[in-house]
Amino acid sequence: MGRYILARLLLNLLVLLAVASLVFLALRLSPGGALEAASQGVQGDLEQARQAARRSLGLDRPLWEQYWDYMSGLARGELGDSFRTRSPVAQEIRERIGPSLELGLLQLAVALLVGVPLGVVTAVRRDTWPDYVLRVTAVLFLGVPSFVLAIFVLLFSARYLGWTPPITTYRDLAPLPPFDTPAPEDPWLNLQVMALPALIGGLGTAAIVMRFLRAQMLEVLRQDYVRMALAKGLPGRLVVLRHALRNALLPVLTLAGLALGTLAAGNVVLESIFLIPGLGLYAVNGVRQNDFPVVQGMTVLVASFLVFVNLLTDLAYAWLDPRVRYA
Amino acid sequence: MPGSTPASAMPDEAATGGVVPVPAADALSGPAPGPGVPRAVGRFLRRRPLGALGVAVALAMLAASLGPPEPRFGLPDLPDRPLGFQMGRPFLARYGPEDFFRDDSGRLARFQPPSGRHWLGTDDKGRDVWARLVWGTRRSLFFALWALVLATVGGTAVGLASAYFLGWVDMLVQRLMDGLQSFPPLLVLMLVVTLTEPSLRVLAFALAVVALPSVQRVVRSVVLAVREEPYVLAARALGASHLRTMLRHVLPNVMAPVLTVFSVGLGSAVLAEAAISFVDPSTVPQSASWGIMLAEGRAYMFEHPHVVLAAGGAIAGAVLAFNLAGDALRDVLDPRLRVL
Repeated sequence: MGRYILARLLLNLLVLLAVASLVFLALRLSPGGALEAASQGVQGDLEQARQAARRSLGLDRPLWEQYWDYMSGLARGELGDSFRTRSPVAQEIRERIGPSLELGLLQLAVALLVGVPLGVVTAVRRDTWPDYVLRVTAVLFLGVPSFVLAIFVLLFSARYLGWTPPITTYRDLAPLPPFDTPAPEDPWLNLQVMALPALIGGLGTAAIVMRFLRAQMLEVLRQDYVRMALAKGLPGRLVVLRHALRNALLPVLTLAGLALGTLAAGNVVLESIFLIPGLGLYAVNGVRQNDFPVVQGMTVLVASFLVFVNLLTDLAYAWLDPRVRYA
Repeated sequence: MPGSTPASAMPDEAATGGVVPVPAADALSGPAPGPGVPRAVGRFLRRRPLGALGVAVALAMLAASLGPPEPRFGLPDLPDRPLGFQMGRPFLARYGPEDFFRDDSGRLARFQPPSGRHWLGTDDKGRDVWARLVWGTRRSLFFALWALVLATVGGTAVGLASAYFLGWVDMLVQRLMDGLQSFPPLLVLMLVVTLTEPSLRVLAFALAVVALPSVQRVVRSVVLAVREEPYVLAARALGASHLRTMLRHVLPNVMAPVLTVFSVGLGSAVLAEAAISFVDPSTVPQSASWGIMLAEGRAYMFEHPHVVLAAGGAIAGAVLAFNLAGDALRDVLDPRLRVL
């Protein structure tokens, strides 16, 4: 087991190295956009402005030198300075990771709190009307993308139920630009800001969890040890929760791990609708403005989070299910 | 749809080339579709009404996106030349996507309510919402088809080879796929388009690359089981080359999951295009898009909700339809995969 973890960690490191190098190279292949952005609004000779921008952004140095700077910075946990704001990307990410992480974890909590009980119910009450209703609802939630759902919820609550303003957003807390308020300290206020986006984002995942768990439960409920447990007179409730659910939950763990991986990137769409100053918006703005260090930093961050979560999921799997063994 | 089938041609005739097959040839080419196909379609309609609904919506989307072919050929491009020839205005749209209208007094006809002239009304720039929706269907559908065909062909080839050879090939390929999968997808897509050119074609290629790992993962897992079957060993023992064994003996047995992944993936691709166009309408601004309509409509959605309702409904309906169709297809093609 120790050897396996070590091998995986080394491989992960290689993957991250490759990811970092690839992003670096891809960005350097066409630096035009970055120069354009940096020399915008400059009066006079455009070519001169571009040259000045190239120098000040450090893009005039040999490629290998830039690469070495970037890589050695990574090793020290530095991600370089943003082209636009000139402040360290690592620090900007630290400031914005809070809201994203909170939104992501809340979404996951909604997904599990809603998805797991419903998955159990639909499996145990298989082919009865609650099962049908819940399954059709789940398919509906799978089909409606979160940003469409969010807009519809806002629209209907404001226009037809008369809630105006429909929700509290970060912008209400700090009504002046640049809108990058830290997460409110007051937990009640905080929840007011986050509840709706978390619910809207989480329900889609809840539908996936429910459907997946239902299938797993049906599989497990057919097993001999479940029949054995029932035969020896254990109450059905106990059999379902202790014997069946515990085993059926394992694959759901993988699912949750994957969901956790994607939420590291921040939910771009929800963040932009609900004006949450998180990492998703930060990354998208970085791409828009050709801010290379920001794009590099975010890509490396998300990639490391993903490979790390993947490893953790696999390990948790082996730990929870004695049948799973990694050589 | 390339070419046209005469209305009289039944599906079973089309499948056998419209000729009554010679029994011997029939025996060689496996079980003939025969009269079983219409019956299977009928059974599908009865047993999977929701799936049938999904298929119907998908076909309606296809119908909405088709337009008269124009004698201009060239490299295939999105959205108006997806098959290599230029397609004109969709049959279902009466106006172009950017045509704007004036009312009787000559002012821009903004926010007109639905009428006989403008079925879904007009937007803030006086453009016909229904027409833009139909043009957006073409963009959405052909984008999804392009990306998914590329991803499926590529992913199947990679997954097949990886699981067939196993050993260091598999190890190497799978780690490569892990690496590919650890890029944040939305970021990569936007980045590629920003760095190259704002074109749907580039976006479709990028999405295909991003989606490839998940396709190959499914294919690989099925091939891992199939490669142990005695008939694969038999083929090898009879002297079939690796390539022949893979293509003739393994590939046909993984087609069911491949088709399922394809149909479910179409929904995700529609979603991806809509999401990107919504988050940043300037990513690929050249044609009407549901995501762009949704983003633009947001500005005035409380006063004039018809634009966001139309665009949001189209996105949700399309994704839902592809999901339903994919679910039903999976149940029919491969009951073993029913778990998801």
